[in-house]
Amino acid sequence: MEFLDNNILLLIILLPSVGSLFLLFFKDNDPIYTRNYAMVIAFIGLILGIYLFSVALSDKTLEVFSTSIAWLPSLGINLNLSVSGPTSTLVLLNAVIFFSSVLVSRNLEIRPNHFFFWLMLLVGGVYGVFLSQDLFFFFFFYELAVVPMYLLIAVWGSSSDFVSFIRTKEYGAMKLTLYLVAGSILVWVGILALWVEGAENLGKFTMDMNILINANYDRDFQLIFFPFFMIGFGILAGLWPFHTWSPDGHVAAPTAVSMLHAGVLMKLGAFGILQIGILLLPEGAIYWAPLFMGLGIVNVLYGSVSALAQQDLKYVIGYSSVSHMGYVLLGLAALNPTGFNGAILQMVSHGIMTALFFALVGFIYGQTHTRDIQVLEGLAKRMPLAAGFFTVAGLTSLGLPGLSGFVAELLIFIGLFQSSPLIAILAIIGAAITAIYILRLVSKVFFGPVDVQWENLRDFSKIETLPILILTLCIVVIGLFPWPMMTVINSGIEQFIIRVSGV
Amino acid sequence: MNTESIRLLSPELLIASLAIVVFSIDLFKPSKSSDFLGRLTSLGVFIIMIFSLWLLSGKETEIFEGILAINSYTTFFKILLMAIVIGISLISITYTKSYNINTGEYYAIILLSLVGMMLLVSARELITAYISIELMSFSLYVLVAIAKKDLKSNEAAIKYILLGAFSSGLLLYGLVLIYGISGTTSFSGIETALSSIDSNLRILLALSMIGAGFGFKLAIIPFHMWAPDVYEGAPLPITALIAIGSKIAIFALVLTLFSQTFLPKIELWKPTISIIAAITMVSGNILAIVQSNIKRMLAYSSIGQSGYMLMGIICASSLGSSGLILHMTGYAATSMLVFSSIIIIHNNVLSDQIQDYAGIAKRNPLAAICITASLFSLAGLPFFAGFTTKFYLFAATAKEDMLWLAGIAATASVISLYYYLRVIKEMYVSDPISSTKIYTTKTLSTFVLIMLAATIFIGLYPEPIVDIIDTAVASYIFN
Repeated sequence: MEFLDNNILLLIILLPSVGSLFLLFFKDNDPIYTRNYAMVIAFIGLILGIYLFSVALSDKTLEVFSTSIAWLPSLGINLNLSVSGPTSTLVLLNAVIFFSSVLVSRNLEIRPNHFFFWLMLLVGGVYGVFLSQDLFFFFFFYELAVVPMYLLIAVWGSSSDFVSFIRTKEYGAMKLTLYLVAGSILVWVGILALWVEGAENLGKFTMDMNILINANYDRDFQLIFFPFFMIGFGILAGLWPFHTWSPDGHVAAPTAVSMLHAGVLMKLGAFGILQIGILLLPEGAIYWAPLFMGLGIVNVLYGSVSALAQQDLKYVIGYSSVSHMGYVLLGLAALNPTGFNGAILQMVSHGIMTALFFALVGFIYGQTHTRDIQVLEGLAKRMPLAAGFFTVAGLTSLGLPGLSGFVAELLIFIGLFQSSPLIAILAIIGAAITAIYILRLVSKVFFGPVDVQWENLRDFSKIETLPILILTLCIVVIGLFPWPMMTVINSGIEQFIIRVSGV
Repeated sequence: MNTESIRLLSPELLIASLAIVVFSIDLFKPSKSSDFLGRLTSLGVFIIMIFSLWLLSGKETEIFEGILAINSYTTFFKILLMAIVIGISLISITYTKSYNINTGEYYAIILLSLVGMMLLVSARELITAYISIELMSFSLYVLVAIAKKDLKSNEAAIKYILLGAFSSGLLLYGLVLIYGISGTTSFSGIETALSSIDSNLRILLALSMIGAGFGFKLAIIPFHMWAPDVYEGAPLPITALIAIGSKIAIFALVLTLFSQTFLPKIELWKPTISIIAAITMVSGNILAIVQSNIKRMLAYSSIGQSGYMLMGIICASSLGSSGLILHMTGYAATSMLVFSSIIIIHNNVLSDQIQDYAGIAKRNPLAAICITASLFSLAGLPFFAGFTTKFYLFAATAKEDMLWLAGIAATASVISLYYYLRVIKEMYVSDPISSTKIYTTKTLSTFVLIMLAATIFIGLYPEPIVDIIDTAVASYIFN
């Protein structure tokens, strides 16, 4: 048990990333075998995630899990892994979404082994970002999570083709990749700056965040370099005005990739701002918080208004992600404990909710072969289960009490009120707009008269319900019993508060 | 002259004798030539490589009264260059057959260029350095033209010779001026002389001549014009030799010159080279976007890589030099991977147009994966060598207060990702032109897998190599 505890974090990362390599030797045309393999990997990850979370819940110290492996001492790079309350929650989120996205990927026609290869590489990267305490490896895994996206979307994705509006999958894939990699230039430069300045202040090379905390970056340095992280990571978090890759990319991506991408990958951006930007450069964070908050509120409002105007079902969800990520950014920008708690809970809540949305849209698209809202009508008759789950996801999205979105958004609003009441009021208006587009969507697509062409649709089979059910359960459980997750998240928030208030 | 000097020069002498052996076999037993000579060359160089490892490891000395240096820096580069030539001869075997290249001359001249490169790395004196450069360059001129019936190859060779001769002239003129200023041709003598001379104008003139001369050889913008044509026209393995071998050898010399001999006048060359580096990496990568031929695309990408490598020169620190050498090592593995995979495809498709790569993933998954991996590595994405080596090099640059340059370099990497992704898209997304499988020889596919493993190894666990490089740098240029 002790051996497992010492290496569990490494195991969590290596399982999907190294496990993926074996897939290259699988046959091209054996989707079931390949998928089962991926499912086993995902399931072990899920168990490990639950184990981490339960340890975090049981008040035991999480330090037993920390590992450090010397990697390139001449630059001060070590593979330092450790887990805290918030990261254990995010690891669990990634595990849940990975598992359900594998369950959803049932109809892969082209080279399923390559699909799962890239998908698992991506998931390994995401785990790595959450667990790394070393700037180099943080960046390493961050990029690793971005690399596979191009092929996943360009090969296995789908194009949007309305007569007036055509977006090919190649376009979406290229746009997404270039935006994200452009963002990582800023992150890269910022990390190098932290490293150089840290080496000057500390007298030795180190990439270890826990040591760099004590590097006493001076105020000017912090003011210059915080925006590098805010915008660089912000691009991945869908920060306005750099969000346009996100709807295009999500729409073009295959279902499992949309789920993972909107569900966890965008969270990496917000997590990066918290973990590197706010933790290492607190003065910069305080200085730039008003701008950050301003952009966040534009995210919320612009995202939800754009969602109102969309014709493609997936674009609605894509823009709603932009809007919901705005809440996460607002929670971070509030720079107080309630805001941080709310932001992380919103990451979890939105991650699960949006994965559920994409899974359902993928299921509907798989049968109707269209996502045009004008055409889809009264699907609830034929797909009562799908309609029910979609409604639950929709209600979470607009923040109905009893579901996870409510708790998260409430915390964010309270946190915002403490620092800027005006912004808080605008954010609440954003939630109201969300209600409009979600309810309109649900009533148009699912309820109302049935169109003849949808007579032959079928609902979920039992096995197809499983991933949907897992995600829905998570939403409801977090909504009704938020305290376990709140305690776990709250246990790791303190370090950020000390940094921000210690200035 | 003493026996010890000759003993320590024996790797070069053996390679030269191997060249003569290859010539003679071709002369007296022409029937044996095609596959046999390629295997003989690679095996011979391999044995010499092992021998030199044994002979040279741990030696720190200067031979022939200080004309050549023997130390772990030069040994590292010699081994690396020999390894590259082994690879080049292995991937040539099928290729030379399809172009009816006379293999006797082909392999022998490759070996002669290797001798040039190896001498170049250990030169401690201007005339030796110049002669080594010429030995290497002349061999390359012939090799570019060696596909006799191919018009493009001939055209490329003429262009290469003319511009090469011109650049050698510039270089020689610069070296003469340096001699005129310092009164000596030895590197250490010049270093002492430069630090005591105040008249910067003459030195500036000499340095610009030398810089331009090396700029031509390394295809640094604005001296890059020959590169795309030569890369396109030359037989593929020779393109690889120019892009990898000659570039690494010249950089090894440039690094010794600029971080030792010309170091006293760093304020004269540092700003100019910084700007040239920035221009080279950005425009090299931008020009690559519009190319439709993969060899031309790789030519511009390799121009961009020269820009990154210049950063290692500008740093003039031990960290920067280690970064440069590490980056070159990773670049060697990655480029060998990309060129050998392209040869696999070329042997079947007989075309280098990017559009002919459509659907390669279906016709030969191994080649597609390898090209993808190598392009990702060149673009600096993690898991592969490029990420780690670039991170090291850029970090060293940032350390010398040139974060702006590191930022430009990172931007250039993203530009490069755009055109690499287009190739990858062609291979994976587009429909194949024909459904016939692409066959490979066992030698080629084994070689490709070894290079893939090397690329991933450097990317994931660079520490052993970094250790060797650190010792090498400490033993020679920054001690």
